[in-house]
Parts: sequence; structure tokens; C-alpha cells
Amino acid sequence: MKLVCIRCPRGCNLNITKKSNGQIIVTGNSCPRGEEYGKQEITQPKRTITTIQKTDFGTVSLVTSKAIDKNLYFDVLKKIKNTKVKPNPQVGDVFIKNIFKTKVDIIISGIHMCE
Amino acid sequence: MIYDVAVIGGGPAGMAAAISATKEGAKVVLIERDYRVGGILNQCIHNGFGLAYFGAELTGPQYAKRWEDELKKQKLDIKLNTTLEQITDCKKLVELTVVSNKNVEKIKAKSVVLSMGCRERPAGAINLCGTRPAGVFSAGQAQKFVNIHGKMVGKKVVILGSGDIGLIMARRLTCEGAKVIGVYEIMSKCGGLARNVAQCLNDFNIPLHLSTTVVEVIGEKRVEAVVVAPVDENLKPILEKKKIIKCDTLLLSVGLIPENDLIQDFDIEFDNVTGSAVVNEYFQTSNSKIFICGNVLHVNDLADNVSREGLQAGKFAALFAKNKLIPQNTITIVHDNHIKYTVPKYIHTNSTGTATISFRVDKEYHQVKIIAKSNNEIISQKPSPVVIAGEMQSLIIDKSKIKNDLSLEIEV
Repeated sequence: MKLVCIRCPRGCNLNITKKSNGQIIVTGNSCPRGEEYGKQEITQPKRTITTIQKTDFGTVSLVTSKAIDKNLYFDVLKKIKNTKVKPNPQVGDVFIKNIFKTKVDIIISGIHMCE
Repeated sequence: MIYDVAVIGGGPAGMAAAISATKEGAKVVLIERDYRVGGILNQCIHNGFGLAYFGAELTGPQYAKRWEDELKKQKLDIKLNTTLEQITDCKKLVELTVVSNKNVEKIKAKSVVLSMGCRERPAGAINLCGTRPAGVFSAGQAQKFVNIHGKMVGKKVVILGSGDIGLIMARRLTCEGAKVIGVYEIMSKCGGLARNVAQCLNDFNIPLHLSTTVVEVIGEKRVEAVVVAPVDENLKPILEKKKIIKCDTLLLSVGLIPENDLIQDFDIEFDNVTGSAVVNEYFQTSNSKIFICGNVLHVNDLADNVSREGLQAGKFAALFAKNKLIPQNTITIVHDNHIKYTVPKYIHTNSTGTATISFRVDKEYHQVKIIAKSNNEIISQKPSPVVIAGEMQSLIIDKSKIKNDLSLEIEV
């Protein structure tokens, strides 16, 4: 299976093969992150999800604390849209803790004011 | 009060320049037009920043905050909500006319670091035919509306141009509930990074149509459709094969231009390829008081590179203000015709240390060697499996090895 690694801007072309004993071999990577990504991607793909939630002053931007099961992408976005921003939010605050019991938190990455 | 260094623009380049100039002992003022520093990083809420500097995958706002926190540890003046109107050369000093929400002010400085970033190429610059209804946005403008203002730009979206911001916005608008019909690119290769095609288009089944462009916008008050057509090898649309695509929004991701209007009347050497000033390895222009770095110098692919340039420019601007930067024995870096331009263009032989030469190639080459020669001897080289026009390349040079000339070559 051929994949483009998304772990850095270099975008290595990975070649992933699965041996009969279940061992996964990744080639084409330039660093250990590529091997980690290749193995993850053909077993359980994960993504870092970023989005915003509106506030009365503008928005807060949000990010998952680490990559999360790709199948949950739109469920995570929906859950975020249904969660209100508490008063006086700060960068680094946990917006949703342990979302869908994945041990991944949704973190406030930025506070954005607009006129 | 006379500052040693005035830094114009508080994005990744300007923050880094202000930090390094202050650390060099200079009296520094940073001018920023927004209510906060960070620049465009603030609206780039996606991750992928900071691998080079922090060894972490940060979002734009998080990357900006790391630099802002460092900036706030320094002793310098930061003028927010303040924009530069005019730069005047007063022989030994540079006079800046700045306008804030309170007043108009003149600031004098011994050196200036220009770090104003770039602007998006607008619809008018690409001869887009048809009507001019609402619903045509540049990708970065849409990014600001969606991420900062929390306002959606449309429901059915066509994206013209496959630059990274366009790809990022294809994903972003999909996440906000819009239908992104497709990304259309006139060139035969994608303009953005391969990883962005994977994670922004393929993840959401958004098609990328290469060698295809938008030939007409249709709509009275609001965009109702666009007409797309494939192009021939001369990039001329094949109109017999045109197709109407119903949509309410057209996003343009068709290139970035250094925002250097304020220095275009200045008597400094310009480069037609980058559309900006020519510099030496100290990021110093042909007017020795003016330094320039980041996307206002040449449009970079990565914010981390912009920060690196900012750190260098700030440091050297501070040294110049203290009469400690005295470049001698200037040589011009020559390059073969696989290379479109180099930053810097000039380098000096009266100093030691390393210099990073950044450049872009004209097209894709496989299994190449990037070679720097001086006096017919190779002084630095780097093999590369593939170099492409869309990705900036670089080579580090040990300056003590440079004799009386320096050339950069791509061995194909």
C-alpha cells in the first residue's frame, strides 16, 4: 500500500507491506515518525482535528490534544459545536475532557477577538 | 528617542527579528497593525507548525504564542494597532511615519527590519472572466472570516488554485458543513504540499483537477456557477471541453506576493523573480540601513523558515546599528539555469560562520546533487532524491571556504 506521510512538510512516499506473520514493514520514510505513521495508518488511522467555536467576542480555536481515531472526525466536530465556551477562556484550557472516552482532550489553541 | 532597530510587522519574521535584535543589546521598537502580534499565524488554526523550532506539531496560534511569550520576556517597545505609512531615508537614520488609533507619529531608527509578510494574488490579477458577484474570496480572506470572525463564506464551494492555503481551506470549509466540489489547478502539478493533498483532499474525497482552470464566473448578486475547462500544454483553455459547475462560492488560492509597496519607491536593488529586494547573507538590502526577511523578502513554504530568517535579520540589524557589521569583499552568488533565484544574492568573504542559501528550482528534477563551488572546488553539496518548483530548497555553506566567487548548481 502506498501512502504520503503527513507527519512533516517533507511528505515522504511510504510503501507499506504486511507480512504473513502480521508484521508491518514501512519503507520510503526518512525518519521514525514516518514508520510510526505508516503503521498507524493501516491499522487505525488517526488525525489531529482543529476547528473553532464561536463566542460573543469572536472565536476560540481548538485542537485535539493528540491525534484521534479518524472515524470520529465529524462526531468530534459536532460535539464541539454543541459545547459552549465558558466565560474568560484562556489558551491551553481544556474545552472538552476525554472526548468520547478516547483519552484525548479538546484544547483551546487561541483566543480571537474581532470588532 | 532614536531606536537602534525598528521592526515592521509582528508576524513570525518580525517577532523573531525583534527578539534577536533585543538579545543583541539593541533598543528595539516593533510596529504591528493588528491588536496583537502573531500575524497570519493567528488565523492558521491547523496544525503542522513548529517541527523545526520546537520539535512539536503545533497549530498556528500555538506557534505564535510560543514566540510571543519569548518576545514578552524581552525589554522592547511594542506598538500595536499601528501601521506604517511612510519610510524616509535621512542619511544616517531612517524616519518612519506611523499611524495608530490614537495619533500620527514619527519614529527614528538606525536600522529597520522589514517583516510585513505577503498578500494574496487577487481575482483582478488572473484575468478572471465573467461577472463580479459576491462569493469570490481569496483563500486567506475566507480563512479569516471563518476562523477569526466565525462567519461561513458559502455552502457549495469551488477552489481555484492548489496552493497550501486553498487545500487547507478545502478541509476547513468541509469541517464547517460546506460542500467543496473540487480544487482546480491550471498547472499539471499540485502547488501545495503532498501531505496537504492527502490530509485535506483525499481524507474528504475532494477531487483535485490538474491542468484545468476556471474560465468564467456566472452570477448577478451572488456566484451561481463557474465555468471550468481543461488547458493545453500552453495553458490555453480548451473551450470546446468547458463545463458549468453550479456553486455559490469561488475561493482563489493562486499565489502570494511580498507586501513591499512602501519600499518600491526606495532606491534599493530589486529582483524581478522574487518581486522584492535583493539581500546579502545578513538580510541587508542595497540600502545598508534596511534589512528584510520572511515572506516580504520571498514567499516561504514554512513558518519555521520565516522565523529563522527573522532571527538572522534582527541580529544583523542590531549589529549594524552598533557599527559592528562591516561587510567587505562582496561577491555575487551565481547559479545555473535550473535555479530561479537565490536568497541571499550577495555574500562576503571577510567573515566566518555558516550561511544558508535558499532557492527555488524551475521544475521537477530527480536524483540530483545540489552543489556549491568556489574557485572550481566543491565547498558544500547535498544529494536530493527529488527537487520540485513548489518547495524551497536550501544549502548551508561554510563561509571560510569561499574564495573569490561562489556558484550554485543542480547536478541532474
